[in-house]
Amino acid sequence: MSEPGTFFHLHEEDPVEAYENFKLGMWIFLATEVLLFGGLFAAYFIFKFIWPDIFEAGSSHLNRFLGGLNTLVLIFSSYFMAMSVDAAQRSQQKKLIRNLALTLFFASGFIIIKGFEWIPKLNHGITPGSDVFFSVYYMTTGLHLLHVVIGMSFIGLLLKRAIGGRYHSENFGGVEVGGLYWHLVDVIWIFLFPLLYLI
Amino acid sequence: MSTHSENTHYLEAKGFNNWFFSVDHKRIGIMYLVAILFFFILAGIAAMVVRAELLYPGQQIIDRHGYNVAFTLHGAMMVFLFIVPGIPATLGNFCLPIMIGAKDVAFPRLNLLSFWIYLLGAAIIVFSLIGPPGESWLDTGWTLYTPYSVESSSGVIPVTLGVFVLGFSSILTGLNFVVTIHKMRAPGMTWHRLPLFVWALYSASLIQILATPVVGITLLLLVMERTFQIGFFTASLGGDPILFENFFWFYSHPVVYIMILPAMGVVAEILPVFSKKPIFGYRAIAYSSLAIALVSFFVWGHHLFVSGMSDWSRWVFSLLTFAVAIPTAIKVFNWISTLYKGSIQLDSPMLYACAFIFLFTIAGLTGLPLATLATDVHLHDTYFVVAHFHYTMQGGTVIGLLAGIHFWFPKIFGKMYSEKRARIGFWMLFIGFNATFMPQFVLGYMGMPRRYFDYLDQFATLHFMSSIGAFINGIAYLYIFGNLIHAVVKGRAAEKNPFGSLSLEWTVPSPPPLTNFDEIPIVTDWTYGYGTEQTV
Amino acid sequence: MSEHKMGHIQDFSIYIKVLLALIGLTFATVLVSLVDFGIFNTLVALLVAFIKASLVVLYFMHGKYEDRVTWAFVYYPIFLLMTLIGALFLDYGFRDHTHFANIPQSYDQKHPEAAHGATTEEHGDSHEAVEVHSEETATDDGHSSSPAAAIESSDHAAPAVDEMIESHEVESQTTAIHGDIEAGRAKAKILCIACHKVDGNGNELPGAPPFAQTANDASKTPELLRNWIKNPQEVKAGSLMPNLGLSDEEVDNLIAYINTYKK
Repeated sequence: MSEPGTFFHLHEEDPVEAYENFKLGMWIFLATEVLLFGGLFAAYFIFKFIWPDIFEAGSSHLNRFLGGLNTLVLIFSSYFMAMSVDAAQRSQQKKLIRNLALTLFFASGFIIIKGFEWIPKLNHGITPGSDVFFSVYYMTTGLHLLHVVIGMSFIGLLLKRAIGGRYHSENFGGVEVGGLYWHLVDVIWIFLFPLLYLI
Repeated sequence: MSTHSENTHYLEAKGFNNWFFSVDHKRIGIMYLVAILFFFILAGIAAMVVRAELLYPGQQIIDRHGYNVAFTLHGAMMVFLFIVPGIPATLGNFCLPIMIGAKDVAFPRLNLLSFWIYLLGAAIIVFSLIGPPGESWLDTGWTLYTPYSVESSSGVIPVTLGVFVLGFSSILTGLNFVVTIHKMRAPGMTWHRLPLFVWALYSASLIQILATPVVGITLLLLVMERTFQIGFFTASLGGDPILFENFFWFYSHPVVYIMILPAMGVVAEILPVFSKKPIFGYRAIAYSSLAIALVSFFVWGHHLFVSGMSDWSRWVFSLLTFAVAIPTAIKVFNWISTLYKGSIQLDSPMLYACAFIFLFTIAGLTGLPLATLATDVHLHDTYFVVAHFHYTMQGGTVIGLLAGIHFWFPKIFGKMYSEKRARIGFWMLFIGFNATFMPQFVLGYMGMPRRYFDYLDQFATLHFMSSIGAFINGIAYLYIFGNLIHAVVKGRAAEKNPFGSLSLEWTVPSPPPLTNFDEIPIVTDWTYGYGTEQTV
Repeated sequence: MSEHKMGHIQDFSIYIKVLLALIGLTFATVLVSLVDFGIFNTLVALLVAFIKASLVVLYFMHGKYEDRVTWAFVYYPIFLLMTLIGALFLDYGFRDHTHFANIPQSYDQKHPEAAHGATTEEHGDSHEAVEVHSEETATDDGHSSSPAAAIESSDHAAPAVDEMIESHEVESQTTAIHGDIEAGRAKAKILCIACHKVDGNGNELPGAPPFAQTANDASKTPELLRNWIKNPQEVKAGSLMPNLGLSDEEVDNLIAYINTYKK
C-alpha cells in the first residue's frame, strides 16, 4: 500500500496549493448548498403567493422570541468560529481551542432552543402535514437543523485536532474550511428567520 | 516515492485492495467504467423486454404492470446509473488529469469517495428490486411524477433515496473536476490551450454542481411526502403536483447537457486527429460549451407545455428553448468545417464521431418541433419524443462514449482491438439504432402515445420494425463489447500513439504509469496543430 | 514554492464590529417587521437579511479577499435561484387561480378549538387536539402510523373508509340484496375498474379496498354500502371515492355483484 496514488499515500502536494484547492472546493460546495435550500425557498415564495392566508395564520403560531433568540445564538456561534480561524492564523493555540469550544456551545444552544420550539408544537398536533405553511416550516428548519448537526460534528473534529496541536499559522485550512461551512449555516438562518417568523 | 513505482503502469497492481482503495484517477475511471457498463446491460435487458412486448399488438410476454415496471427500470437505470456518470466519471476521470498535465485530480480521496457513494446509491436502487416484481418494483416511470409517485404502492422510497445518494456522487465528481481544471493545469496550459474535451467536462461539471442540489431537495421532499404526509406536492394541503415537475426538470433538463456535453468534447478531440487538420473554430466550440451550460438552466419549462402552466411561461420557455439550439448548431458547423478538405481516415473512432454528428443533428432538428408550442401539443408524450431523446441520448451520448472508448482504448489498456470487428460492430449498431427509432418518429407523428402497453393495429408494422431494429441494436452492443473484452485479454500491444494525436495523454506510455508524468510537462502550444510544423 | 501567503489575517477589531452590526440588524429586522409596508414586507425583510448575509460572507468568511473565480460561485447560484423563483412566478402568477377544485384549509381552520392554544403559550397544556386525533390513529389500519397522518386522515383518506363505515354500523339494519349481478358486473367493469380490480382486471389503487374485503366484512351491510356508493362524501367527507351519480337500481346491481365475492 505504499505506492503513490493509494489511499494512505497521496501524491505530494504543495501546501499552499492544497490550501487553495481545499478552499475553492468548499466555496463550490456551498454553492450547491445554496441551491439545495433554494428549492425550499422557491416553494416558500410560491406557496406564500398562492395561499397568503394560510401563511399568515401559520406564521402567527411561531414564537418570535425563540426565533430571534436563536438568530442571536447562531450569530454568536458564527462570530466565535471566525475568531477561531483568526486564532489559528495567528498560531494562538489556547484561544483557538477556547473559541472552537464556544462555537460548539452556542451551536448546542441553538439545538436546545429549537427543541423548545418544536416539541410543544408537535404536542399540540401541529405537524409537517398540518398545512402547507407547516410543511415548509418543518422542512426548512429541519433541513437547517440537520446542517447544524453536521456542522457541529465538523467543529467537534476540529476541536479534537486543535487539542492535538494540529493547527498553526502554516496549517489552518481545516479550520477555515470548516468555518466556511458553519457561516453558511448561519447565513441560511439569517434568511429563514424573517421569512418564517416575521412576515 | 520509490523509483520502482515510478515505472509501473497503473494496471499492473492486482488485488481488491489495490483497486477498491486506490485514489488513482485512472483506476477509479476503470472501476466506474465496469460499473456503468454493468448497469447499461441491465437497463438494456429491460429495453429488450419492452420492445419484445411491443412486437405485436396485445399481450406478449409480460402483463400491463410488468410493462410499466420494465420501461421504468430501463429509464431509471439508464439515466441515473449509466448516462449521468457516463462519460465524465469514466473517460473524464481517466483523461482529464493527464490532458491538463497533472498527476491526479485536485481531491483524489474525494474522487474515490464519490465512486463509493455511486456504489451505495446503485445498491439502494438494486435493493428496491429485491422482492416480488408484481408489487414492490418501481412503476412510476423514471420521472417519478407526483401525485402518482406519492400514491403508488411500489418501491418509490428506495429508488428516490438511491437517486438522492447518486446526486452526491455526481456533485462531488463535478466539484473535483472544476477545482482540478482551475488549479491543477500544467505550466503553460492556458485556458485557450485546453483540449476541448476538458472544456466540455468543465461545462458539464458546472451543471452537475448547480443543478443536482435542486433535484436532491425535490426527491427528499417526495420521500417526506410519502413518510410524513407533508403538503408540498399534495393539492389538498395547498401544495402543487406541478411544482414537482418544475423542480424535477430544473435538474433533469440541464442533466441532458451533462450527458451530451462530454460526448461533444470527445468528438471534438477525435475529428482533428482523423482529418489531420487543426480544429476549426476552437474558441467558438469552447465557449459554446459554456454557453450551453448556462442557457440549459432556463429551458426546463418546455417539459410542462401541456401540464397547465401559464401562457406567459409557455412562450418564454419556448423562446429560450430555441436559444439553446444556437450554441449547439455552432458546434455542429465547426465540426463539419473541421472535416472540410481534411485528409479523412475512417477508423472506428472516426466512424463513431461522424455518426455522432449525423445522429445528433437529427436529434437537434427534431427537438425544434417539440419546442414550438403548437406542434408540441400534438407531439407531446408521443413516440416522437421517445425517438427524439433516444437520438440525443443513444445517438449522441452512447455513440460518443463508444467513440471515446475506441479512441482511448490503446491508451487505457495498452492493447489494440480488432479494427475490422470494430467497424462491423459500428455498422450493426448504426443500422440497428436507426431501424429502432426512425419508425418511432413516424409512430409519434401518427399519434401513438408513449408508455402504452398495447396499441392499435394500424401501428403494428412500424412497431414491428422498431422491435426488430432494437434486437439488432442489442446484439450490436454485445458484439462491440465482445470485441473490446477480447482485446483487453488477448489484443496485441498498442503503440504509444497509434492515431498520431498531439494531445498530452499520448505523450505518456500506454498504459500510463501510476504517476502519469515523471516530470510535469511545460505546454507551449495548443493540441490541435495538425498539418503544421508542430506535427513533425 | 510557497512564495505567496496563505489566507489573510484581518484586523482583529473588524470581527467585533461585524458582530455588533449583526446583532443590531437582527433587532432592526424585528422592529421593521412591526411596520406594515403592505406587499413590500417581504422585500424589506429580504433586504435586511441580505445586508446581514453580506457582512458574514465578506468578513467572517473572508470573502473580501477571495478571487473572481470564487465570487463567480457565489453570484451564479444566487442568479440561478432568482431565475428559478422568477420563472415559477411567471407560471403561477399568470395561472388562473379561481378554478381550484379544492381550497386547502390552514391548521387554524381545521382546528378552531386549538387555534390559540399553540400561538403564544408554547408551554400551555391545551391538548384537546392531540386527544381527538389519537382516537383516529387507534382505529386506523396502520396506513397512517406517523403523527402527520392523524391530523390529515380526513384529506388523505381512503383507508379511513372502513372506520367510517364501522361507525355507522348501528344505523344499518336492512340486509336484503335484490339486484342483477350481471348488470352490476357490467357497470363495475366500466366504472369501478378505475380504482378497484374487477374480476381480476384493472387497477388497485392504494386505499381502494378489494371487493372481496368489503363483501366479507360483516359490518358492511347492504344498507351501508348503498349510502356509501350513492354519496361517499356524505358518509366520509374528503374520501377519494367519487360520487358516481348512479340510480338506485344501478347501485343495487353493484351491491349484488360485490356480494358475489362473499365466501
